[in-house]
Amino acid sequence: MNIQVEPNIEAAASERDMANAIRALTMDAVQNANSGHPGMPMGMADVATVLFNRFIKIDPAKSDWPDRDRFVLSAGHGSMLQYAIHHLIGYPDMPIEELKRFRQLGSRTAGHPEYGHALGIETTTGPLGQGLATAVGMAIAERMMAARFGPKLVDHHTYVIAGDGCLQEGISHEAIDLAGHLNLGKLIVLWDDNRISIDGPTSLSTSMSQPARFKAAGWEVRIVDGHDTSDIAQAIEKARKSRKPSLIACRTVIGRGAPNMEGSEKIHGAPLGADEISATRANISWADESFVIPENVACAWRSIAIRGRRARSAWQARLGSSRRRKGFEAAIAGGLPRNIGRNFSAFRKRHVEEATEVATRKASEMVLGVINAATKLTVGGSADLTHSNLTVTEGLGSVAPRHFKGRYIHYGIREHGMAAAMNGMALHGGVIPYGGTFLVFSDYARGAMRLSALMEQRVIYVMTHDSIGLGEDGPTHQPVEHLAMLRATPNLNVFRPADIIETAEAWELALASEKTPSVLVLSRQGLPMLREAHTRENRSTRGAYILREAMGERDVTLIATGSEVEIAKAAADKLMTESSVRAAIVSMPCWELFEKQSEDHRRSVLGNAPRIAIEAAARLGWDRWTGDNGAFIGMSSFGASAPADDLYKHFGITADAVCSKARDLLRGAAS
Amino acid sequence: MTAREKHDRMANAIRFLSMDAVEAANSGHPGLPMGAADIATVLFSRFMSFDPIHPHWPDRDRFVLSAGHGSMLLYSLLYLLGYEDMTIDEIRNFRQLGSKTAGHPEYGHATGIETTTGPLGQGLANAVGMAIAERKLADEYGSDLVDHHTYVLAGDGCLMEGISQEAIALAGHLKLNKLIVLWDDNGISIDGAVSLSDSTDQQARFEASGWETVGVDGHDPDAIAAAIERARSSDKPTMIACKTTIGYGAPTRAGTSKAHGSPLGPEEIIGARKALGWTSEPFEIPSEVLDDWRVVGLTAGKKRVAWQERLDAADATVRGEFERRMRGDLPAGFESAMAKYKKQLADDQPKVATRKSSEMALEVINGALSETIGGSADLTGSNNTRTAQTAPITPDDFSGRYLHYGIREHGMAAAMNGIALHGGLIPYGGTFLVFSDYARPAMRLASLMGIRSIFVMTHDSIGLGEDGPTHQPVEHLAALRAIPNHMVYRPADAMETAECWELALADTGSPSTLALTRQNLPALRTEFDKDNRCAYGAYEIASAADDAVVSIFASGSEVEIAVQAKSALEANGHPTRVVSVPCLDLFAKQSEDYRNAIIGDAPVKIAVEAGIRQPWDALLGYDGIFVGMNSFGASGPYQKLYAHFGITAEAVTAAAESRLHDHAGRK
Repeated sequence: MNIQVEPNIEAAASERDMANAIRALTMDAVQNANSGHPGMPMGMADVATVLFNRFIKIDPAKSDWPDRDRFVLSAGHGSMLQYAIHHLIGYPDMPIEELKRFRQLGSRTAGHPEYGHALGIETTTGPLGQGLATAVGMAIAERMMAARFGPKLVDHHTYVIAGDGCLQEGISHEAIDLAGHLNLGKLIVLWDDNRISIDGPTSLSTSMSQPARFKAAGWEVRIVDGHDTSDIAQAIEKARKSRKPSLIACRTVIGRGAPNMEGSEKIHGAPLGADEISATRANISWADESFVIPENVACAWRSIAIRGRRARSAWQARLGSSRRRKGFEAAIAGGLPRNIGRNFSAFRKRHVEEATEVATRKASEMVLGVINAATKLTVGGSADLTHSNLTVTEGLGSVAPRHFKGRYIHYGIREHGMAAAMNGMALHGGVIPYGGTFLVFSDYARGAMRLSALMEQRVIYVMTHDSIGLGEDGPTHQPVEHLAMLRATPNLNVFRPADIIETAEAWELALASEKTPSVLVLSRQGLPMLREAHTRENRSTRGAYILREAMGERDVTLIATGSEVEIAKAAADKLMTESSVRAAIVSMPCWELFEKQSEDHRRSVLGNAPRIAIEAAARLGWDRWTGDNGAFIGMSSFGASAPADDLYKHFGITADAVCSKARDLLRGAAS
Repeated sequence: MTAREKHDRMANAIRFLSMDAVEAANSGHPGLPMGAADIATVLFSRFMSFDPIHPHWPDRDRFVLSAGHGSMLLYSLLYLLGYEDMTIDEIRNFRQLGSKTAGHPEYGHATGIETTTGPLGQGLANAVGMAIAERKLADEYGSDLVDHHTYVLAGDGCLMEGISQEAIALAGHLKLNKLIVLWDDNGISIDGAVSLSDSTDQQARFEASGWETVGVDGHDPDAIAAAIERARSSDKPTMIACKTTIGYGAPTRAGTSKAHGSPLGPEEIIGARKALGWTSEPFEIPSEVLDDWRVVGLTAGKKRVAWQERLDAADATVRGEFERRMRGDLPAGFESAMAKYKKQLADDQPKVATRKSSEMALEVINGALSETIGGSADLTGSNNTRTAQTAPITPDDFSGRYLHYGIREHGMAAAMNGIALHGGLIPYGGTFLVFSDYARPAMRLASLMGIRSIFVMTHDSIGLGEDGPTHQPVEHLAALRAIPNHMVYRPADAMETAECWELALADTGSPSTLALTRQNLPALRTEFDKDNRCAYGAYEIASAADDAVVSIFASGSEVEIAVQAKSALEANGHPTRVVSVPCLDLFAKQSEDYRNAIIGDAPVKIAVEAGIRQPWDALLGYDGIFVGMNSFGASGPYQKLYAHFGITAEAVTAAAESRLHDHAGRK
């Protein structure tokens, strides 16, 4: 790769113009939308110009080239920086019209960069700190892929532009500690040190020495004038040679160029207004009309794409002659081996026949044994609960500083950082990340889990200890409302399997869901085998199914998930023997998939008899399935600290409680 | 006996109670209490101010066990010091149903537990709030009445969690020098050595945040004492890194992850008895050791007597106000101030966003209440959380009533919990509703503890417009409503906003979230009511012209849409009623009769909310119609988004008429 570090004098002059092009497009687009954030793009225009002009390796014509550098705009409100650059470099889907439609319905130029809306947007940002933490995952994936396929095929940098907000958010701590620990030397963070936040100067709320903080986390730190192009270039050049991740603190002026507003919070998040725009044009000597870029400046920007195209062609040639080509392409495609379906089916058949009775977290571990042996794509991990989440399988090998051949990551006690890193790994490609913690701590990870769903990434969350069934640790560790919260999230499949068979089915579905993240909600406590016979069909595919039909016409339908299906089954047996009540049992491992079925199918499963739902969790949402005269057996408060069996009795989640509720309902229906 | 011998046997009392209780429960975490026993013994025997007989004494030092899994450390201390409700039977019943000794320390279960901990990092972040409250009240009432320290025992996990960064950055910025964190630096996490996942230099990190730090041998009592002494005279918060051995005293498990979270087993305990020279039976503390501890409790209590004398000598008005605020009662003039304001609203009928309505209500509230303390996570001008009365608090001046929490939603929520727990102040703090995701673990704890933290969450739907889906809450109302004991209010206009604020402030047993709009809303409640109608959770805001055939339920900004749809439907001859639902949680608490009356028996039921359907299922049943969101939002001007996602009066009208048509067809 041929990188020009010292530009000639003409180019230096033009770098200023190139940066001003970003400023002008930003002002115009924000003004046109009458909404948006001009301050950050104007302040970081010089840094971004140097980064793209001298370093970054991308090819707009092949924006998903696997060995491209990743650029993450963690300070996502500065989206116009990214859109302006994309337009200038010549991404085919970012014509000037898109910039004119900034923040309008249906445009590619959303208020914050949205993954999938336009080429070259590597991740959705906006919720602060997420981009930085996602970039850590990208940089991990780069190291892992490089370890597997060699530097000829995988050798790229991850660059992040982060603002004060990104660094104040707690997730940044988890991210930078993990990056520092793992010596992610190809991760370079450019901090827009403009000292302005929305409320006013950052000194209102922080006195942090960010350089010292990053050093404490094992990073290399440089401080530069963010408007001095050669200063910036030298720092990036040195950072690229570092074996540690690098922070470059770029001292900038927010809204640089706007004579009356620069350096103030007023320019952070509102249009400049026509007068200030005119004054800025005069100030930066920018004579052109709105949305017009002079040809020499446009030319300079487009030459970046030429450099990128050459680099990609060279890489393509290396790939073509590589003996690892097939494996590499398969990994990037993310496909699972063709025989994996057979493996799943054989696994289910064996365990039905053996009537294996285990906690679903244990079942998950057993399934993972099959998966991790069948594909090299999976990368496991846990937020310091490996032996509780049961997320590691034999021979996976741990990732450690300078050792990236393993496939298991000790994420530390960093649920949020883990989830965001998994997003980054999934976005990077070549790996399928899964990671574990207790279900209750999905609260900590939620900011990033939502983004998995919004970005449609195949990230698999292994959430164990899924109810009061965890016992003595008590209410702080017992999820109650978490299923409701996760089910409420659009495009997130929540699986709560009832036995080892459903666990295998859930894993199979999760791996196949390339556009939807999945949460596997698993028990701590042992569960029986509920299936009576093996079926080739994955019965969880439709979200809910009749586990056992009533003998004759249904008097009542018992609907349950996970560990409570066992209770439903016991209740159905009791109802028959004690009261000759005919109960059907519906297992409903995944609401989201059930909701996608036809109305007729749903009715056929749920039936017309009174329905009782049983789940050791909050009721919210269950009325949808139980209907007007249904009932719910579950939690209506936080849990408590005690052995699990005592808790189930205490909170009345028992077969007896189900039976008595069923009799009540039937009496009500009869009267 | 030397002082060291005395110390050792006192510390060993903690170790053996912990071992024995975990063994008896066959569950729990012996490693931390055994490793940190020396630290805790030094802290309590030489420094802490508290009174076991008056555990709620306002000027006590606060002790927060942020590493809550080490709960037996705290329970052992409370028993040994003579807290009356912490009997040896409670220790024997560790982790059993109905005991005060839950797996993790639960606020309210036993006296002396200052906050619920267990989710890592929360205790540390709560403590920051407690230390803020101390400084604030000291500024108001003087050091005669308020002058205490906040001590935290934190583990590696607490310091790895992101919330710790928000907490320590805020504490360092505000120079909370009476906050002292003792870090149990045992180098062990659950998966194994901390070095598996962490290489951070914690002391350098805290120093970067403006803290004083010192490293000590966590098993050397004098070194620990010297460090605490130094910390107490610092003008910055202090972190004392205490190098310890997890499970200290356990012959084979000490220093390994095997000591962390499971019983040691009888053999290992025998070994520990031998190693530490402890001959008593399980749960038995030699009387001379118990005496040593009880003397500590009695001595510490003397400081309370002196404090009580100072309080008694204070000006009667000051004293009365101090005591009222510590009780958490609202002042006498509050109700009438709000009544006057609501009458004004009935006259003015302002068309403003509910975030603005909230600011208007806060002007009245902050004028009538001296105890509110506002703030925002760097969205002050958007959340409208600042009023004329609330000057900012700065590192050197705590006379203000407003906290710039920084871009730290999680740290803010946890600090608010700490402020509420401390007492004497009512915290409210703002961010965008979508960022309740970031604050959620702390919001859950507010609910679990049943404390009065008030979360002001603006920009509550796609109505925020151009910022797009990352900033538009969709599932958040559902997610918050699902939390037990969490009151979610979504007022429809300025009057409802005032009522919801009244309810939130009066509710001493639950936290509240106010979900507020960015966009303007018309006044729908145009008459003054003495009765707070929002107190019912849902009420009929517009009745049908005749026997209703359609009931529309809506909250917040969608009540306007519901009212418009009602007009359209009635114009087409379909009598329609509208139910405003500012708080589903309160509605669920009403009598069945009331609920049935409000739900009504109109054949067509429609709920309208620019969020997801889930919370409405209980009202709608299987057949009800929901008009709202079923995907993430989009970036665009908000009116276009409402049209795009079909949340309009026309859509509601059409859905109702289509269903009425089906019904007619079936007949």
